[in-house]
Amino acid sequence: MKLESINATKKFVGKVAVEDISMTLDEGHIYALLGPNGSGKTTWMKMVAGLIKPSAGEIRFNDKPVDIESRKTIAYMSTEPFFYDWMTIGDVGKYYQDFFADFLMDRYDELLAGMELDKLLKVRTLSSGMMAKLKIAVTMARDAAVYMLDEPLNGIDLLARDEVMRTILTYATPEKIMIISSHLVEELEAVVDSVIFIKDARFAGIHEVEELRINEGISLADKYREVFGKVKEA
Amino acid sequence: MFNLIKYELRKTLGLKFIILIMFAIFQVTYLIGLYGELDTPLVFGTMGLTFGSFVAIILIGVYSIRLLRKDLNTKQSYMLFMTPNNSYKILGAKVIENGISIIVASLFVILLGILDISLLTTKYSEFGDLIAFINQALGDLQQINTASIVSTVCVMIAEWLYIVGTGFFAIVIIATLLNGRKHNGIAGLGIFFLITFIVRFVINKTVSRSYDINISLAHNLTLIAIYIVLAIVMYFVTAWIMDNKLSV
Repeated sequence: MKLESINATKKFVGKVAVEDISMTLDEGHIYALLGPNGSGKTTWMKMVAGLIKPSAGEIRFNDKPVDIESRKTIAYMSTEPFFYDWMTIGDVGKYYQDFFADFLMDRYDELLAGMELDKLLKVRTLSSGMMAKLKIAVTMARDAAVYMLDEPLNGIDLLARDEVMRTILTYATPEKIMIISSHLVEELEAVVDSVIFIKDARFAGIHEVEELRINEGISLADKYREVFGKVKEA
Repeated sequence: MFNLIKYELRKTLGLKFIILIMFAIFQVTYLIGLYGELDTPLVFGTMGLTFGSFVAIILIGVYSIRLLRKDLNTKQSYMLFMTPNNSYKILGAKVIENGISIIVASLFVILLGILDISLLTTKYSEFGDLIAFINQALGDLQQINTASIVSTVCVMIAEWLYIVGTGFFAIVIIATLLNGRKHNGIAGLGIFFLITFIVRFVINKTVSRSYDINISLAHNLTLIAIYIVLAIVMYFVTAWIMDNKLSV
């Protein structure tokens, strides 16, 4: 199983969000997708999820362009809340069960219990932390081939972060591809084995974290500083 | 597809509940006026039910267009476009939900109208005589019959479905070109009015001109066919744009 980005480009009016990104991601890896705000991480993920059409190039999953079929096996968690506000937490699970054959309600219940979320709670009443946990729970309750988590650690406390990290590690089995974007580089270092850097909308390298430690003698955070040191955070 | 329609119905449930409450209030007012022999509630109830019937059907269509706009321009779009459904299904579910809602609402107001007129003629027999007299007078002049009334209602429903389809098209075109930018709603309205104006102009200059009598069965059937074809064309063009060009 492989996920390929081939010269993927996305241009909006007056802005190039992603430019000519080419890389191949293989199963059995947890990738950190790193870059400053506005570097194009989210746009690239949305192209993989099929939410955004590339202006040029293409994204291929298992040698086929991503399309309606690939949505059956690619699970994407957006950084923004996106559930209908009339839903309860239980309704969100039912919705995913209705549309995704790989959704496991037992796993969802288990994840909700671990995150102390009540199925009867209305989505509109959730705090940002609870919403972040719900997004993780419903995404990871899918038995997908590819998981893409955009800023999964945003807005949640330390204990909830630990729970999220545990969840990621639990379901990151050798036949999966997992891509996580976050600004909390040091926390990500504990779970990822590879890192993709995106700088100014362009691909800026892919590395194995262990190789960075052994060959260059630096941590993921140090490498981040090295790559983006002169880029001002937005 | 069934699941998509189910959730589209759920999204419009609140509006339908409000419409039902509105009808219930006017109906009760009408019945109080009728059986209490009070003129003010009778007139108020009658006017409310009459205007409410048109407003309800228009609201259902407008609300559906508003929902599509929200589904394309907010993060809730992910709830639809992350699922393994193509745009023909996603839009089709919206069209079917809206079509069912408009047809059911139309049937509901027609049946309610028949019921209320029956109650009125039972209560006041002279009202029945008045209707019979009007029918007789009109019958000699314009040949109003059940077929022409039903076909006129069907023309209104078909035209409304085409108008809603045009609304969908305008919203999708603008979402594709402007991608959630400011004033996209105004631009969408502009496209909507332009298309409906041109279609209305062409129909008035061609189909409607060839018929002398306004209430003609053949004329109405022609209009129904035109509006249905236009609605279908709008659906396919809009879904194609969504599938191939739209980013959410």
